[in-house]
Amino acid sequence: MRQIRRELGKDYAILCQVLRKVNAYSLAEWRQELSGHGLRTNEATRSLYYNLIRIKNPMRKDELGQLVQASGNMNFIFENPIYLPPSYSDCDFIPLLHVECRLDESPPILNLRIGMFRLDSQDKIKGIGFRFESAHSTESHAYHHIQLCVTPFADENLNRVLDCPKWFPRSTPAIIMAAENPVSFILLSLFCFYGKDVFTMISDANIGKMYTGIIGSLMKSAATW
Amino acid sequence: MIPSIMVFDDNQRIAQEWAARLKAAPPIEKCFEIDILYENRTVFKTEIQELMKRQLAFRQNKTWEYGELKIDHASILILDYDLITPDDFIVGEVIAYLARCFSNCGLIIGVNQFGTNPFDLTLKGHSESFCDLNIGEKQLDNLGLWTDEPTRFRPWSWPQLSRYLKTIHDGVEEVKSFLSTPISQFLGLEDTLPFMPKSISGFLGLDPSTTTFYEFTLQSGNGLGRKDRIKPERFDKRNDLVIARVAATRILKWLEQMVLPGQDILVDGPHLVSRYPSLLQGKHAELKSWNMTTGFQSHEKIGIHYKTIKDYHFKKPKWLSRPAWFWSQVSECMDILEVRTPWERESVDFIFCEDTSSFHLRDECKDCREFTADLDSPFIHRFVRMENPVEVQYDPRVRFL
Repeated sequence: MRQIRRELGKDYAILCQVLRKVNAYSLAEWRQELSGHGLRTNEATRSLYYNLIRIKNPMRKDELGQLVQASGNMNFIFENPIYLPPSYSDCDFIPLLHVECRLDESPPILNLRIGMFRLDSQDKIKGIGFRFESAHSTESHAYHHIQLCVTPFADENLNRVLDCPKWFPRSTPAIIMAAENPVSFILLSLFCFYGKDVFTMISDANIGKMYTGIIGSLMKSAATW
Repeated sequence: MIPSIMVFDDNQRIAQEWAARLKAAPPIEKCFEIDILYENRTVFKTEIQELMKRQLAFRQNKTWEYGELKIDHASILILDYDLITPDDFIVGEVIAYLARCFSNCGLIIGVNQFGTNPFDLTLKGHSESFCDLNIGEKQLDNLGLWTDEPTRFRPWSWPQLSRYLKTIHDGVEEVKSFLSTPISQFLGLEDTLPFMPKSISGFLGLDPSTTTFYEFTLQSGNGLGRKDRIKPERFDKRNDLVIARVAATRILKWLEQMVLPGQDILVDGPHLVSRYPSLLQGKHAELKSWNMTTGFQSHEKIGIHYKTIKDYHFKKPKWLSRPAWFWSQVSECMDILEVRTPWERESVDFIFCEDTSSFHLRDECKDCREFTADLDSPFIHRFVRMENPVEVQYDPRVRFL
């Protein structure tokens, strides 16, 4: 019988805080980018943004708070994705984040889906999807993992526009993630895209080493080779 | 000379009541001469009409003598917005505008425009008002507004008035010599301005990076009213004092109520240590260490490791009511632990509350409420303690999470 961590309620509160701050940061960054004074995007990427929001609105400032309030116990699914800011290194891509949180289940479920959209050389929208999933109860994926994902969104319109190649593998590789709790799961997922800058997104969040220590450990072990 | 507080209300009973309340507070009474501005409605109307004559003279490029009106001698003008002047249709904001532009009065406080005991959960301030501060009548004698004494309710957006009076005076004096200087250059904001949200930078005018104090006042739409704007080539320099006064007070308000609240262009002490606790001096387990950062003194005196971030503090500290630093520069300073190795950041046992201007122990904040400010900033999630939710009007309540 799986043992549910007593701290899961606290984790959930911090998880919601992190997502709210990531959304607030993202909205502010996009406002800056769309005004032409940002440092990440070019005209093509901004044009892509306007195309995407015609298909699916970005999550509003207060939307996550309302979602959490309206939903059940530690349980919500995004209606609208967070339009994450492009990373500095792959600034042609716009990542959209979708989250499904069902921490009240056994085992607790936390799934992130990220679709990265860009314009190709013919100005057609293309993309690639990833899913970050918490451990399943099945033997084969009884660990937190990352996989490619051809249809990352519940909204089929977004999947169609993403146009991720159908021949991509959907099960392997299932890259292991060293997340100790739902908060470090989110942070590690976003760390894959933004590196240390993920902490800039949440600089006013009160998150202690219990949630961030794993990143510190991974950074230290990387430096020991 | 002792500075004066003058209470302006067309209802003499209310004016006297407010003056009496201020006189009953010893820290206020001993620092200010407190009086009501007008003894009766006739005097009230006459002085307003004189201000309007000055306005007309300004439009005709003429000058006038200051000191002839009682309002010219008010260091602090307390102005009731709830006026009853059926025959004149004069509203509080009109008087605030006339007083600001055409009298020599110092700081203008508007009362009751937005409620009798308001706390604004948008944190946006009221940049459109020509008052330097807008409060409710129940807040008039709040000692947290006039002194450094902590009080149970004290919005962080309030300056400390005794200090702020000097800020306004010094600002006007300084601007007189820089009227043709671009505002962004004067304030050291040239590198920051292009990255400000347009909702903030647009206040300065069509081209914020080059707008001078003259141009801001005469052309932006946030200085002089439309009919009072004179073409620069026609402008009589003898009226430079009008420009200096309007420009300085409006830009001070812009910094205080539009630039600072987002805490992402400039960041003040308590918000800075909330993000980067390693910058806090003193024992982190003690509340008083955290509350030292809420002081209005200079940046060396508020309990922050200021030397670590000495290159990033706002270079015109006299133009803000509290110490502040450029956030984009601080957030890239590798001398700060939370920037260098952010996973090492300690969790903080204290929350800063915007309605008490102080930190509180997290475990004692069960009744504290988080809200979403209506700002163009990523740092929109703030807290209020709500020690008196019945008396204080926290609006709009949809902002609560």
